[in-house]
Amino acid sequence: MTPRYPWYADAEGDEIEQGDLFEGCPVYLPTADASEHGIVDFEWEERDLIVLSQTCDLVKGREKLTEVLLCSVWNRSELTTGHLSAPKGLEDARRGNLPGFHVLAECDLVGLAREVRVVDFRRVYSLPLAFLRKRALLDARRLRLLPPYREHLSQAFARFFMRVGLPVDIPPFK
Amino acid sequence: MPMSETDTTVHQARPSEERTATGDGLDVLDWDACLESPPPRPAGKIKVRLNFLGRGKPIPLADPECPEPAPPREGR
Repeated sequence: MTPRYPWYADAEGDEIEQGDLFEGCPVYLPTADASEHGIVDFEWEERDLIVLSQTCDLVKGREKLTEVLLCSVWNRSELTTGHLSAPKGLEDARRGNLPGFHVLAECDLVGLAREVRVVDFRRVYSLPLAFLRKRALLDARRLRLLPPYREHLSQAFARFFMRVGLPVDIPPFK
Repeated sequence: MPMSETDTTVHQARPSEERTATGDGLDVLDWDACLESPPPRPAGKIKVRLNFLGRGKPIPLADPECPEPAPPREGR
């Protein structure tokens, strides 16, 4: 890793940018029978999340959205089953051969050391911006992915999201 | 070795064994790879009362030719 181009900085306060990481953040999922009125069940799950909404849409006083788009992030040590549990799988993801995932480098900032992590583009959430701002104030310090790694992430997400599967493909050339 | 002050390892050519394989009919990109069961994390169920506040409204859009900005809106 080249120190002149650090992957992360620590962020404080309630200014939120694309690439900010919120760890142990709850996401709320209405159950299938939740209706418009009355008391209903919601499931909640704790997630590590990374902000995918554009920074320019999140500027305080000039917000262009009310809900923030976030993606799940898994620690490498949590991936104990499947392709990503093996170095081969992580290497495939690192090379960009698994478009549903994006690998983030480990972090060695003092007090914010983290292992390699994997962003899961198939697990996408939105949370209210005001909720995240308060959450940001509760976290004394949090990690922020820095350019150009941040743009690399958002480009990878865009590539995955805009994928097109052809119903009838051109046969392979022999 | 970096070739200039601004060069990084990212800019340098990688050894051939690190490059993505191509040709031979290989499907290099696995678009379908997914985590079928996510790693376990704290989870639970809560009961919530839903209060219907009416349909949401779009965020006011400022006229780009008018210098007056649209008022900020942070709904929740």
